[in-house]
Amino acid sequence: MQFTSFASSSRGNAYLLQAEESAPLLLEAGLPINQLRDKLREYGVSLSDLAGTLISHEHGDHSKAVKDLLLHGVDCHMSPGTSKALGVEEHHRVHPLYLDMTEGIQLWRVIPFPMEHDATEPFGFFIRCNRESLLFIPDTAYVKNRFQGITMIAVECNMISDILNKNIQEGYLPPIVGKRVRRNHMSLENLKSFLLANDLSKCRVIFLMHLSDGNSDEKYMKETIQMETGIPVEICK
Amino acid sequence: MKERPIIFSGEMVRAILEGRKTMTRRPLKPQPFIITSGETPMGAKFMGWHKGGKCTDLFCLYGQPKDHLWVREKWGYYPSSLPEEKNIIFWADVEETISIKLMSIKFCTVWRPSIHMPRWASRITLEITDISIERLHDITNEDVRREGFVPRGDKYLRFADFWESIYGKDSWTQNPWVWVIKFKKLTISKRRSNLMVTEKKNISVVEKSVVDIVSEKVYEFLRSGELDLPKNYSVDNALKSAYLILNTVKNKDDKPVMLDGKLTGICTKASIANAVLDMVVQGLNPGKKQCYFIVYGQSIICQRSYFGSMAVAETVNPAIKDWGFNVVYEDDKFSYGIHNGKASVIEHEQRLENIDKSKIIAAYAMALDIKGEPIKTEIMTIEEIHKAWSMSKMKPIDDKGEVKPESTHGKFARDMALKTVINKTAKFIINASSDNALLLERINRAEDLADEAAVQMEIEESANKGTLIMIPEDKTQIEEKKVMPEEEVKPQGVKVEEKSNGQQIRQPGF
Repeated sequence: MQFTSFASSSRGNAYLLQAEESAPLLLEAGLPINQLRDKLREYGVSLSDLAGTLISHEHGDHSKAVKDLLLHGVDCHMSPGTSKALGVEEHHRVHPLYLDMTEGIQLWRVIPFPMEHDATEPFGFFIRCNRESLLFIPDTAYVKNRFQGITMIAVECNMISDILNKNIQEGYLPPIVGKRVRRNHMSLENLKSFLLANDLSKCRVIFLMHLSDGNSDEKYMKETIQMETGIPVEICK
Repeated sequence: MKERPIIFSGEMVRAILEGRKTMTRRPLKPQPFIITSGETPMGAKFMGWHKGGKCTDLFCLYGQPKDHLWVREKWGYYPSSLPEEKNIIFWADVEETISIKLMSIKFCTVWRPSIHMPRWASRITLEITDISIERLHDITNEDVRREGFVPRGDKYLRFADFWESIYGKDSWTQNPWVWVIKFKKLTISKRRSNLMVTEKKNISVVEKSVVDIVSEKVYEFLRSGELDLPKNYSVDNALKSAYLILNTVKNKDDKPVMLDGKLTGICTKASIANAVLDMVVQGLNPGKKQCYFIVYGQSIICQRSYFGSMAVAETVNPAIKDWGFNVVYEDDKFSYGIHNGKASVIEHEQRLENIDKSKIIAAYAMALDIKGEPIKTEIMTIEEIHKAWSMSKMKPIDDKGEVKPESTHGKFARDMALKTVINKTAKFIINASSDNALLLERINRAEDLADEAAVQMEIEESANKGTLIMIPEDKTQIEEKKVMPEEEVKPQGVKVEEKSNGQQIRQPGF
């Protein structure tokens, strides 16, 4: 199983998940369709090759290309709340996902779980294909569930609390924005406790996604998580 | 051998205890003109010549060499204890560590002047080794050191200041004749000084470091003009109640922050000092429920209540003298107008039969000036109020957006709605009108910390405690790939282990 980041920031999110046994899966579609197609082409994938797309929530940086994807005949999987918020709940290529129910997309097995984000019904995904699994956690303040049998993690690590506090108090960030970030995005500290609460014995790599421009420190985050878990960390860009 | 009392100040007692002081100077009364030395028929070594030619033998009131002196110093009892030796505390032991006000909080004691100390309460006995007379200015550097002072630059400087602090202004320049009494320490009640050492530690840990640091800082702000507190605000009273309230604050595991006035190590000293400073800078008193202290993790924060917001608003805008507020029920006659973009209530007529907590449609609050004219009016519809409540960490709003009837907000809808709208009005005044940079900075800091604390508490409560999710491997796939299934592989379907919540879990196939 191979995880590739096309874009990972509040300007857009799109990730490609490939496995030998099954057609590739697109995670999030927060890029304009042209850019998305170009990126896919770099990896030798055309839109029609995709097994499907998973959309975590309706915010533009995660769902910009959904309507275009539907036009191109790509299956989109998302929570009923998300599809309603995007106005695509009637489309025949939109497949609803439900909590605690495993969805089969070709050989992929996807189980959604709830996230803490200011969207209608945001989901994170635990994805499995044969013996490999990816835990995909986009925008969330924290995760309620715990997971077993993780081999790869792609998780948001938006900010470091201390940097955020400093930015708010020194006036670089309007307090109202700071408050929203704090309630809706994962801090390094919360990520640490999340990772330590889970069984990571089979995990071989951790991807950090969605780093904030002003409130994060790439090198420090990478080193901290590597030191805490002993697992190689890669930063998505 | 005779025993006589002698009074020493706290600073000098400490010098004696530490062995720095072996000499004291006491002015002659009355002051003679000229002193001649020699043996008089009465056995005195000195004679004094007074104005008018009168000559007297001079005897030292404190005695002769080999006589004993017992030290009188400022003292007090522990609260509600008998006047026994073991219950005595000495001013000299605690003076440096804490201020008088805090001492009263700590010990609830009344300090007694040194002159009223009885013999049995005294802990230091001295033996006089030598007595002589000299002019005060004749003191040498050596003697300044023996007096318990470190001569620095001008030898007189500190000693002279000290002398004037006791005997009054110009007492140094008058250069009086003084008895120079050399002595050595005989006994010091060890038990008592040990007791005081431990006591001293306790006090210094808590009070010196937290409350005193804060009061020092506050007075520094006040002196530099950075801080302007309301006239009727007493820093000392607020600090006193903060100290008492901090003694009752517990964290979420029910562990106290302070125990018997000692920090338990749950919260950092710095965070306590900061929380108390936030409180004082905003002019809040926790005793009046204007703020309260909340622990999260290692820190403690000062959370302002809506009483506090009203008080701060009155501080930043002194024109505010009163507040008006009420809720509007469904059948009330209510109208408001907007003039220059400012809303004001024109008419509100309410009838008793309209009052029904489930039929509140709006709430309003206004800050009034001395004539009762509104300075700022804020009107909130019930939807806006519910929106504000949905942010509350008490979670009074359920998933459908309805107020839970059993929650505080459901039971006391009127009070909670008023609280919300008053808070909003006060916050607007605070944010809009103040040019007091330090106050605003502290307010923002406190609010930001409170927000972070709330989020952190929520996260700690719910994160990583939910159900355990795993996807079992597909049998078909495994068989195709001819891989031995792992031991925990179960039949198809989702396996969700029930952990904490009692949700019914569906287990469909694919």
